Amino acid sequence: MFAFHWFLIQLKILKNAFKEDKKGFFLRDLWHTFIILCGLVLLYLFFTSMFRFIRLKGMSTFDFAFLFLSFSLVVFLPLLFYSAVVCSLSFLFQKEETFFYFSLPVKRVSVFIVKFLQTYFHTAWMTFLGLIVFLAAMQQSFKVTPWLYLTGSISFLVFLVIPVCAAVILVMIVSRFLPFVQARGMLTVIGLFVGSVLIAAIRVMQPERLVTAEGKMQLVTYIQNLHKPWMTVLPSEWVTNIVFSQVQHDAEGMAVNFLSLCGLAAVLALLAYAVARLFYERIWVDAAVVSERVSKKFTWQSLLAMFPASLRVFIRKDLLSFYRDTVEKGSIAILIPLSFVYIYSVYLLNKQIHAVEEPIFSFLYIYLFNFFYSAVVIAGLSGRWVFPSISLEGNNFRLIKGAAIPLKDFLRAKFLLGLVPLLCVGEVLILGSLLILRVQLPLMLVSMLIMAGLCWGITLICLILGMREADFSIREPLDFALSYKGFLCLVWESLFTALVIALVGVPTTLFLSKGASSSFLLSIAISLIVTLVIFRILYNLYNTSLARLAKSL
Amino acid sequence: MIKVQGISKQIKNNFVLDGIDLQVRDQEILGIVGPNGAGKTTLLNIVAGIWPADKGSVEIDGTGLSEGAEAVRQKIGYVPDAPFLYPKLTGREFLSFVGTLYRLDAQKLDQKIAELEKALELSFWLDELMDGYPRGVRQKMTLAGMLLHSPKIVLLDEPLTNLDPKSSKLVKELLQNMARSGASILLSTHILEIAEKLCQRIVIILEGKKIAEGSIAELRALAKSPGSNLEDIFLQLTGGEKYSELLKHLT
Repeated sequence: MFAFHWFLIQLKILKNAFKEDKKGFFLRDLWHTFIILCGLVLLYLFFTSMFRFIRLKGMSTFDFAFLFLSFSLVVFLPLLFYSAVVCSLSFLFQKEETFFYFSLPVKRVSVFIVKFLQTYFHTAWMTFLGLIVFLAAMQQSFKVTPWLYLTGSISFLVFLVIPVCAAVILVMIVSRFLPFVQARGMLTVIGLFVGSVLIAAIRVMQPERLVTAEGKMQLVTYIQNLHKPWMTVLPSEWVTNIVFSQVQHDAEGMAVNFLSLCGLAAVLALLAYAVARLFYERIWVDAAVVSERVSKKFTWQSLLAMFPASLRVFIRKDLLSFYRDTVEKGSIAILIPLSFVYIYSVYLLNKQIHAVEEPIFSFLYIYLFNFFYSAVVIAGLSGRWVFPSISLEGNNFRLIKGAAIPLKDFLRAKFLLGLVPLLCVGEVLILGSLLILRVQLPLMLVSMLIMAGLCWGITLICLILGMREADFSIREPLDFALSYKGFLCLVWESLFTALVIALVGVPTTLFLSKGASSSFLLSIAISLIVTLVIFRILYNLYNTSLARLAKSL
Repeated sequence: MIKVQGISKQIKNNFVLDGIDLQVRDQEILGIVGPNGAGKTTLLNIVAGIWPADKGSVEIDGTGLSEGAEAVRQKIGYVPDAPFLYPKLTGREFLSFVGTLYRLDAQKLDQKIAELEKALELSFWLDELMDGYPRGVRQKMTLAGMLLHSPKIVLLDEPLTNLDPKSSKLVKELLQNMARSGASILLSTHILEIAEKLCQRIVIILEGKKIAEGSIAELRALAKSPGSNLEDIFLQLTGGEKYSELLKHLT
């Protein structure tokens, strides 16, 4: 009853958000929809091309599709589990909304059901869409009845209940026996670690090889070798059997597997319900009343003495907020897979360079690709942390504006807090990669100087756009970074990176092909002038954005 | 009637409430006053059935909170200190949602919303999205949500904090009318003048313990300061004279 009314009110909220700001709704949400649709179309093309490839090789498309689906679902199980852990940590413990529901004449377990549905929806929707695309590709390849969509959808929906239930049970039990802050920190860090390992594993598999027939063949062989007898006890196998029993018109096979799948999902759902009846109210209250006592002394704070007092106050605030937020701090784990992907890509690049005889080509490879890879890492990090940093101040920005400290000091602090970590990461990455590529020392120094300029520019662009697009109502920095404003930021960062690569690439190409010729000297002069112009433009934009920000709110 | 017996609550081994007893009779407004962190909000959350107590019991009209959780909460109207409103709902949609959860039929709900719209002067705001509401209007909207089902038990945590003088007077009269018609009202406030004028009896709590209870006359007698106002009594009973000294020193 309560879940039904809650669902209706969510529809109303969506309708009102659309009516209130149609333009924003279309730009923001349709942009997301467009990106998702592009991803789904690419997935569809991948599936159909794989099926076509297998048919051309005279192999059984049916067997491949069967093995591929069961393998994908096995891989998705732990991913979905950790995604559900992260989602349930957020939804089950929402403070104000749950407080409001608890004050109403509503059963506590009904409130849990609503929170469970939120967790389920946020965890499962994207996987569900991907699986529907797989069904579409199957339907197109095997010309099966459209009833496949119904059977498949129901099986997928039931299957997705399993990891969500398991995650919710784990979160409730851990939160019952550990203080909430510790439980949240521990589960988030484990989740991020598992995510990082998976990203790294995907990179090692070199998915780019799939564009070649050899790569596709390797994937087929790999998947075909995976199927083991023990897999039949897994729910992923039951789902796969349901879908393929439908294709083969095997009603008995469908029924047996469907019963097994529903049985397991029902047992887990009942278990989650029982655990919620026992623990949910208690763990929510424990999380709601928690206040953390922190140590007053931090030795590293003495390092801030080098900054003027007006800067120090902002730097200290931001560092403490970051340090004490387990989720933000844990997000640093994203650096591990990003750095790994970068270093591994450079390692592959090095192997490819040895196969190329032409020095100009190999040199450009170093500069263009190396800077491109490192810029991707820097742009990703700055888009996640620097771009939303001003908006994240929220209503406190009024306090900062009203304070006796100039606003430009606040922005200098933001700039430094963005630039210093990015510079460290950028320089370490470029140095590591150049060592792998065995580049000479003078060239290494030049590259590090260019990297410093790249970090400076990217941080400044993020800060300028962060000021111009500031939205003090945001709660989640990630949502802001992933919005169309975040996309705009990424476009500007990419343009800047392309410009830097061109400014470096043109003179080096001329030097390598013609030596210290007049055209080389001219290109150096042009590059320097353009660099100065870019610096001037960015500086002016920074000042105008600052003036604009001062007038906001 | 609200009957609270021996309520204790510990957070991280510190007593937030320690053996609190109190009773709010029908047709009575009881005020809880105390310094910040005294345990007023915790007490109200426990009486509202949102947080469980570690020890003690709460009875609402003779029924224990744990015995008939939903049925008992049906009788309660609670305005917390930080109310939750859906930013992307209009006031009218929010009231309809709350009314449905209190199982009011559609006709009665519309009638009640119309009454509250008039009484709390919400006509201008009711069809606007709530994320644009000023704080005072948000407070009035929360009060309207609480009043929808005509609760027998009313719990209010700082109900007049963000209201302008006119709205504040309106709400005070509303609460007095509710009390006259039989409701038991328990409110916490920092504004001692409000407690003095609005409440028949006052409970003073300090560091989770009840240190005094009674009408203004009884509290004056307890503090042995005839003719003094609630502020003086409060400062005397809570050891606030030292703050007065400090204030003198600071100014």
